[in-house]
Amino acid sequence: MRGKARVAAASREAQARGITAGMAIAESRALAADLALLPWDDERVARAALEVTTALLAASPRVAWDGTHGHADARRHGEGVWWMDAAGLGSEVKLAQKLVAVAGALGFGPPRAGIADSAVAAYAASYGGRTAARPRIVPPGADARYLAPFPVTLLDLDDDLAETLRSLGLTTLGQLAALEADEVEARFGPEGLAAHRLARGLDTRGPTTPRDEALPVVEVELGGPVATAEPLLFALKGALASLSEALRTRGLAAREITLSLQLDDGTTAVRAVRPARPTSYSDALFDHCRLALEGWRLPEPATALRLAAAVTVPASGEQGDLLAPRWADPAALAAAFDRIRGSEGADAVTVPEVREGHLPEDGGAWVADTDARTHARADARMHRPIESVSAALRILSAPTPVRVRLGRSGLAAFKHGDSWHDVAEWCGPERLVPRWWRHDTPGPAGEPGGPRDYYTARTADGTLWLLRRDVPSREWLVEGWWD
Amino acid sequence: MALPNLQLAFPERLRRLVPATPRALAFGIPALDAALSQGVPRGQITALDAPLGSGGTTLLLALAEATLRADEGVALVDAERSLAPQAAAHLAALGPFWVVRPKANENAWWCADVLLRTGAFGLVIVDRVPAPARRVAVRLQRLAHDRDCALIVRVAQTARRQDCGGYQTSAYGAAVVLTVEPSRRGSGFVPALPGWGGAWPAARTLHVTTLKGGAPRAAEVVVGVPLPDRLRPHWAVRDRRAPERAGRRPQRKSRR
Repeated sequence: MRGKARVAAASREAQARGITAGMAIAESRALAADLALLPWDDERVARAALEVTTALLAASPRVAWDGTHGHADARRHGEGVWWMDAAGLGSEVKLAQKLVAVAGALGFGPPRAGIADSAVAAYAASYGGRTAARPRIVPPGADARYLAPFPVTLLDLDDDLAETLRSLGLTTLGQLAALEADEVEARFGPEGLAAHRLARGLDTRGPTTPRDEALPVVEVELGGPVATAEPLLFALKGALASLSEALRTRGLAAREITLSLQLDDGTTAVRAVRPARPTSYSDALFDHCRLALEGWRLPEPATALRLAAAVTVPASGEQGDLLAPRWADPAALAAAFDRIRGSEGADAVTVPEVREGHLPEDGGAWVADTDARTHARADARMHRPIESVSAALRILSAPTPVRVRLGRSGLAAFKHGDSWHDVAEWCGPERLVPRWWRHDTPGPAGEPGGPRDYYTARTADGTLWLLRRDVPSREWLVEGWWD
Repeated sequence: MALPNLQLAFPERLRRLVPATPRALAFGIPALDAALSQGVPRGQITALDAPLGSGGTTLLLALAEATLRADEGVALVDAERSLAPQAAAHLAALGPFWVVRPKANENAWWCADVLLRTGAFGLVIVDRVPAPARRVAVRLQRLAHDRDCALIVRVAQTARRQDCGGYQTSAYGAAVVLTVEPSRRGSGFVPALPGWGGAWPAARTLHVTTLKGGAPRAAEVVVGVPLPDRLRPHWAVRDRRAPERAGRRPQRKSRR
């Protein structure tokens, strides 16, 4: 009971006898003469809600109570609504079952759970489960389709709008969603447009990201308008050193940094900087921030710089091995690789792998490696002499066309770069057909792939070259050399 | 626990912790290690003077393999981005081994600087790179010294030499210089497989000269060219090439 003698919430027993929220006291007494009326106690409701929220935090890190006024449909049934973030928590079925179990253990009545992309569809889905242990999960992207058969009373509409929709024959959310948005806005105003968006599964409600006020922030006044990069980078380096120190003090690594520049006209330009992996090393962060600044065209000179650790994770720690001959902090190694990737490209740090392929260029691949391990992948081998030394092949990423001079006995010389190389001895051809099982595979120059004749040639200086002649085009190319 | 018992319990690890002699790196090639009496020194720059195609990469990968087998990390900066992955793939299984392939070959020095600062590597190799400026070489040498790491550098052009204290050293202050020259005498081509006429390059000899403060010392290293998998026989697949190419011999041409 709340305010001027109207029912604010009713127990399940009262609901079974026809009493609903919003009903006048006299009307409810007429339905149940033995009705027990209790005054509404906001403080008691808030305490109970806090108890539920605390319990639900065990299942999801982001939990939000819908408030004492809550959802109209839930209010009619005397229920509370909690929004939770289910993203990235593993199995949604198990999460929903856990939520139901946690809420049910508190003794506030049988709970319901639903999972969907939007809050309104999740609320509708809470009705759709077969049992409390088998909650309804709406597939991603299917919110509007799922909501279509539900009545418009599911939405929190005011009485006039609800009556208008009913009189027009719009009884389901699907019928409402089928209307054009601009027509709905023109006819029903902002409230109608909001209802239309909800009917289409477009809901902005939900748990908000918890703000960590304790995250470190560094602000630097530049001492005057700065239009060039050098003073900005100088200030940035110092600011990042302070930020890194603050992060390390708290045992954190930054996953995302917000770089804000206060401009001369009073506006603020903001850019997010995300290293490839969380780090607290100022050098790695500086490289990323520098790259962000380089491609940033500012409309006005900057007057102040602000760095804030927007998203942090606990810094990884590993116990060093005193007896290991060489132990290095994996985080330092990861930060070094991150710097190199930031400057030289994502594929700059690689590990070689052998591949199945009959062409020389298909025999292996460089795999971008993100695992900053400091230990051997296999068991450490004993130190022993190498039985046989094998020549290393070098392959040009793009084979270079060469001019070839043919003599009476075949290959006589070829011109690679600016100089002619006399061929002392050679062997070949070995004919290989690239991807012979596919006739539509184009060749390296966009021409249809055809057979290739491979030659091995030793030049007068002792270098062993790998040459190729494309049969269709009769073009000679240098593929690589053994070094 | 008394010290003798401790030594009995952890003899191998204690030996590593307190090495009796300065730990240098070895190539794992007996002839070459004999010529380099103290091995490839840590904390110094070692220059590899090997022109294109002379076998320099082969020696660098052999040094990387021996270092990985000694439980040390290795980083290789491939400045020209031309190393074939299949040539180094066996190293990735031995231990912490990475290949850094910079966008431009002049960025290789910066990559080497970043790698040395981690202190995670016993060996950093910079292959086929432009000669460093003097200040860059000094900085890298100090980093190698501070991190107890061997830095081996192979410049793309033949290093300029200067007479320094009675022995030759490279212009960028390398403590050890290895000069590699392939044998110019034709080693020919041999049948890739017994009974098959297809030819494959025979093993060749590399002449390696080491300069390390005294008289130059020479070593010869025999290097084979690995047979690609496509030419290897498989027990389950009948080799149908032999009848077609039987009796064929590699075509040769004498120098003009």
